Amino acid sequence: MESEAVLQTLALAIFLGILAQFVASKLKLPSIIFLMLFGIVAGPEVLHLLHSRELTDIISALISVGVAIILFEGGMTLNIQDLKSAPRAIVNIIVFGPFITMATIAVCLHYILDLNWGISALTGAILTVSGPTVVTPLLARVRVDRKLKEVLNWESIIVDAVGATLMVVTLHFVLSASESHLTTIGHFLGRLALGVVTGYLTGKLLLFIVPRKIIAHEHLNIAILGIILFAYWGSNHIASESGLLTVTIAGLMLGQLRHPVLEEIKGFKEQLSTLTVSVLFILLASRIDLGNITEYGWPMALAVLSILFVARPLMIFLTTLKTRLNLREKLFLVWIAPRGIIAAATASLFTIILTANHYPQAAALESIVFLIIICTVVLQGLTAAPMAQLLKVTAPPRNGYLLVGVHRFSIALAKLLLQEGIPVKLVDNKKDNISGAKEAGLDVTCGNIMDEEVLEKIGLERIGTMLALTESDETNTLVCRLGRKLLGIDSAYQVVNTFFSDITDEVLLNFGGQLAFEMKISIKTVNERLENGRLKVEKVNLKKTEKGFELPENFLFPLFFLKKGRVTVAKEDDRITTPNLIAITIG
Amino acid sequence: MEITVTDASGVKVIRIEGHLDTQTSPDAQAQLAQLIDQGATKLIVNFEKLDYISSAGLRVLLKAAKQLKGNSGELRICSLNEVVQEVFDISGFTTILTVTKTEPEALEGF
Repeated sequence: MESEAVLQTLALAIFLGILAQFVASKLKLPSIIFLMLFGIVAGPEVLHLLHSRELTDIISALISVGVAIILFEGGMTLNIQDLKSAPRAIVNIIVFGPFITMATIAVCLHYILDLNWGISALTGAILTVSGPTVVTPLLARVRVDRKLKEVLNWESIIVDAVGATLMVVTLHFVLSASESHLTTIGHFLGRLALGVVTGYLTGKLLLFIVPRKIIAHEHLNIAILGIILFAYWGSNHIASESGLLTVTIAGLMLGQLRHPVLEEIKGFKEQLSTLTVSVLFILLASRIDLGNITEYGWPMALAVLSILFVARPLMIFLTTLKTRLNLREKLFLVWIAPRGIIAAATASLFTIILTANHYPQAAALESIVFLIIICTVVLQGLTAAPMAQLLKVTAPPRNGYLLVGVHRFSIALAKLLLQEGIPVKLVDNKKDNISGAKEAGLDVTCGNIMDEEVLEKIGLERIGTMLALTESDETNTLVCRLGRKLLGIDSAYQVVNTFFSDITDEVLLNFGGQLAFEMKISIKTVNERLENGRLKVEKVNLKKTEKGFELPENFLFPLFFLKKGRVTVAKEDDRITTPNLIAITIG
Repeated sequence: MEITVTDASGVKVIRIEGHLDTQTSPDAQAQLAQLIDQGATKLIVNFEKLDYISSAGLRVLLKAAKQLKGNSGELRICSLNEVVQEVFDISGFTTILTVTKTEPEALEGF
């Protein structure tokens, strides 16, 4: 194939991939919908701009690299501590889930579509995996109960690796029908063991390299990428596809490291993963033969329904027997199993391999898998939020405030926020400081917020905003740095105790929180004035006049705006657009 | 907001009435900058009739004070009402600028 056509295909795939991500984020819909749509339209079936069917070798290599990056990044996002909250369901789903799913789907496809057992089993194996690239953004949009979120996250990432191994072993079994079942099981366990060992060794190597300055900081991301791709290739070289588990385990181990550089690595891998997923999906979708999908007619629809409404429910109900999950939570798990890039990539690869081996009904595999991807992503992606609400498994809104630093001012703020129905928690590392808040019946924790155990004790499930209110600007900045990491860059606010602080606007922008309140204020002075009754913190209702809102004579400046049940921190130069405020006034 | 400027023995006295906030501070800043550009080095801002000041207003004062300091001049503030006085106190402005109770006090020793 001419290099011009290769370049056109790759460049267009990158462009369309990024465009699909952009459109999806604007429309707040799953990106995979647009990736598939753009891929099909630009592919040989419609516009013929992507020459993906002629690029089989390049795409196979891209799939391998892409899948390795996706699984490594997925492994890094898993928190072993979170596993403690719902261990049984997760372990069952990881260990038994893939086999139940594969067996049920194989039976359904064999009897409904009259497919041979080989293709049925292989399709079943491929459809055991739910996609982290679809599940993770879906869970970011739909806020569900933490327990469910953990189950779905772990399932999507770990089952990807386990399921991928299962797929490869099944392919091996299908293509060498003469082999005994015992040998096949041996191959499966051997690949698992190899993946675990090489993954552990790669993880250990990364844990040795990353915290030490063995590799220059600016080369670290690339070096890690090189190491994991080498480990992936090495493991695969010994036993095909065992590398999937290698990179997942290495990512999981590195993800547990507590080191500042980790966030940077995660960010880099996330971007790389997004790019890889986007490009791969465009290329894979462009290869879909629409004729194959429609060839089976209504039985195909029935097969899809059986996968959604028989195989998935059966697996979930069996693996969650005697677990802490209730019926509503189980039903939500039944509903959420979107398949993603791993299924798409493997289906394409296997179809290429099976076709080359003249295996009968090979084209059906790719058609069913892509149809399931489209159905699950569109159907489940669009209905996840209403379904979560219907089943009452949504997490409570994160509209709460965590006030760091306990004193008269923060106690007064906490009381007023509570009156507005906003959950408030306070934290201070000095025991003497918290007595006032305790007496007022407020939810207060004594401890250093930088300590993970203290954070766990406070419980951030309902906290959406962190407000650092100590007398030290440096402490406030440090607290907000943590707040940015925990709650997001827009959710950490801090006071700066004087207009002439060393904590400049630039420092705030780069390291700290947003400046809380209309101006920089000295917490010490405010507390003194509150104590002697000179100042008050109160709810104010402003009168509206032709010129705008009329400020009372004793009004100093706004602290919070109260609008339509929402409470937002007043910031420097914010215009008053609501009559209801929490403000600081002359007492 | 209304601004009037008078001259008291070489000292420019700027009286600001009403609100000095995000909307009105660009005007105030332009007037102060004009005076400084014209060579004024001694400025008194009289806040007797100022009802409200926001951080944008404080920044105008800070900028003018810095400019004057660069020209070996000085900015003094006088006649704050109790609301503006509190804002100055809790933002730390009273510690960095010369703030007097009355205009004659501000003029003294200028």
